[in-house]
Amino acid sequence: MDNYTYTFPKQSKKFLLQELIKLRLLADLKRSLLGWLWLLILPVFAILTWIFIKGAGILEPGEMEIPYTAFVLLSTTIWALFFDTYKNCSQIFITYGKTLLVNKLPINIIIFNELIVGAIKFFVPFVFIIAYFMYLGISFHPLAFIFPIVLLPLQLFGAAIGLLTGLFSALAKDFTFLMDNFIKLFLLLSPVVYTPEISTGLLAKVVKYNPLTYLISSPRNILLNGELYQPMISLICAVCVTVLFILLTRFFVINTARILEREGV
Amino acid sequence: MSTTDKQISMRTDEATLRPIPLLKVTGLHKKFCKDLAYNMYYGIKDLVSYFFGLKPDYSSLRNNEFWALHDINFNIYEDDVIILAGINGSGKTTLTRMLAGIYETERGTIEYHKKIKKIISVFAIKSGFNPILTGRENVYLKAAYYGMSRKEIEANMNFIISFSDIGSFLDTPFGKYSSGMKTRLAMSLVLSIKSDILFIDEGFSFSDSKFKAKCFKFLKEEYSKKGRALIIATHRLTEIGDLANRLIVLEKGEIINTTVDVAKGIKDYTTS
Repeated sequence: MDNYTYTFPKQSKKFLLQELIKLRLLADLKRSLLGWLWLLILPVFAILTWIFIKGAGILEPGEMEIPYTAFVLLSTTIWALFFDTYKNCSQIFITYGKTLLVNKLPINIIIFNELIVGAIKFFVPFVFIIAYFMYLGISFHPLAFIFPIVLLPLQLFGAAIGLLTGLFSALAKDFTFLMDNFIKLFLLLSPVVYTPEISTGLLAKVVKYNPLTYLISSPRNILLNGELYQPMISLICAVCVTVLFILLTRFFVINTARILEREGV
Repeated sequence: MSTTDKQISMRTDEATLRPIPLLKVTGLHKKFCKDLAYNMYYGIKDLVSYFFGLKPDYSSLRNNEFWALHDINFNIYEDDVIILAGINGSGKTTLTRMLAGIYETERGTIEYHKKIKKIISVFAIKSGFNPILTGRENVYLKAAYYGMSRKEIEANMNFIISFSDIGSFLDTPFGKYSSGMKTRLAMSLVLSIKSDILFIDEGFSFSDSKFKAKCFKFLKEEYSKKGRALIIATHRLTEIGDLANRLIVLEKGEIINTTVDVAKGIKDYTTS
């Protein structure tokens, strides 16, 4: 006799992942009249909003190599990857709670699924960005091909914060309200709609010590001029968030059953 | 019935069965909290403890906690078809979820024989099916939840189509199915899987008596003669009574009766 060791069959994990990805993408597509078009429409709305704010003189984004519309489109799309991954990971118990209460599923596959779906939803509008940049006559740096690798730590950071929030939010919703608003605040405290050089006073300090500054600016710079933003700090941030992601994923996996039984009562 | 009596009665019943169990449950406990605020507080407190590598105390109850399962001991042997009976809140679903590994085992042990390769647990037969996907897409999705590979489900597809009698509706959105069709498809998928142990929690609460009889016949052939085991948590004792060779009755999280005389056990339970 063995102590309880039943685990999900290894050979079925790939099939489960494929089915989960299909479900997440098809569910959005089939429930909407415009379907995937929303992935293109939403960034356009975002651009128009920021152009309006800049036109009203509220925002001074600083010196830029490219037109502001192109800058803000690229930056907000990068931010969206971080925010969507955070949101999806923080809602794992909402999205999959009922499924997890009736099926013993490998949680790491569900987390991996959220990362892949987040990446797919990022790269669809990103194709639109490339087309828009070509239209404006902006060319990407030859090192732009490493962009996905430089972008990955930002997504892992979003996932790490999301997983931690998700665990505590499943017990008390206060954590969701708190973190959602905190993250929204960080959209303004990170160099998304302005360059990191423009920040002055207290904002300069926040931007300097905010890891998102490096995780957002580096992939953006790699695309535009082939350089990391403050390479050493960016590298340290990337290593730290990767370690944080691994630790929090493990913590999440270990504690999923304990959270489920409290939710499932 | 005192604890000693219970233990003697369990030993007596189990001694008449084969000696090597497929599954052995020893001293199993599970506690829950009945107050929402305390549930949140204990949940956060325990999570923080785990975060710092500390293990909360599972041996005693805190304020507003109760034993959902208390000192559960039993074995499941080859060819066992067991009915898990008890009123709502007696602990049937909690026990089944613990056996299926969905809930954590903090106190007590659940041991499986090394030969066990596949365990399937079914809770609310139609759950996990998505109304916007077709029947066929749902079969693939749910099969993935059950730990099947694409190859396995493709090999089982003919059985599922034929057993469920869904026919041309297989490529229609699941949401457009009648309740009976949904049940037939979901149950056919479960029955197509060759599992060593199958747990079914309230899977037979549908009204199609013809299909139900077909399912019972299939389950009896597959699970009472081929070295496997079937555990059904249900309120529909008289319907399933003929299928089973053992009955376990739970009350307030404790086993109050376990017997191989299923007919008498059901009679005692329903008249008590």
